[in-house]
Amino acid sequence: MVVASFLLVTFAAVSAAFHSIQRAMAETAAAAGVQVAASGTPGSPNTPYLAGAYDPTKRLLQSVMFGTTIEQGPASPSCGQGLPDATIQVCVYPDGNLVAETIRGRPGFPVPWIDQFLPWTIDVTVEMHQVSYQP
Amino acid sequence: MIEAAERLSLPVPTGRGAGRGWGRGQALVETAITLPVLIALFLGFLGAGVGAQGYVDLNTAVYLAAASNVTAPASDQPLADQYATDTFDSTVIHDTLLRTVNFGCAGDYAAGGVVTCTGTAVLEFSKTPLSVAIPFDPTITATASATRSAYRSVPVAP
Repeated sequence: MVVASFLLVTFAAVSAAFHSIQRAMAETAAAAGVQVAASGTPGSPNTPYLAGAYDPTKRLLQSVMFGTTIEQGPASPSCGQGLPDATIQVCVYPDGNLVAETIRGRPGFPVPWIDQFLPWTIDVTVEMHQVSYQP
Repeated sequence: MIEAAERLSLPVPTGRGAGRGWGRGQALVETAITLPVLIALFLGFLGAGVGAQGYVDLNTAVYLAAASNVTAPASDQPLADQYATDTFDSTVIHDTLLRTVNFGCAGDYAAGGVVTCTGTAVLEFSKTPLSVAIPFDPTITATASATRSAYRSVPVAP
């Protein structure tokens, strides 16, 4: 019983640590993406470059999202709705004078069947004021 | 354990199955001692994870706020601080465990100057079941600096 408890607690702790790493990377990736989004679109410096945020975000996320599909979501706060397991969405949208980026979903887990029993989800939103240019 | 009982002059069980009963009792005592330690360890791991998460969130908010500050026109401190505050508040609000204590930026707001922003928040463990293991709300601080472009223009007069 002690051995079983030890294994259970160890596994739970490793899972929690793994989730912390994934969430920390999601935060970093969102921060990298939102900076691109808050800057100007090529050819139109006063328009936020929402489309440019996805690629840098995905590049950073891929390093820790094992067996997870990363997809571009709608340009609205209603991000990550009705997603299948092991899928996360990246959504970039304007919020007044700010630009927001949300990463939401349930990432996969290295041991395939275990993610069915774990409630780990990622829900990260960061915002940044648009870069302003003067004539 | 039986030897220990003999030394303490405790009645030692004899007969068929007695050893097995003692073994079972020993396992129960060991479990009773070990399980709380394991649970405390697990809650400690979870607490460390939530703490790290709160710190990463605060650090990101301060970093983006400093970056926002230096995108404002040069030498316009009120506008630059407004950009930074908007960014910080709008990012921290998405973390339900962080309660902002204060936020501010200082430094050289001229073109090419360095601005440093500092944010302090309380990490509210008391809002989570982890408050059983961590009965206090720590205060955390993050600092970030950014350099304004040497070519950033000053505000244009209307």
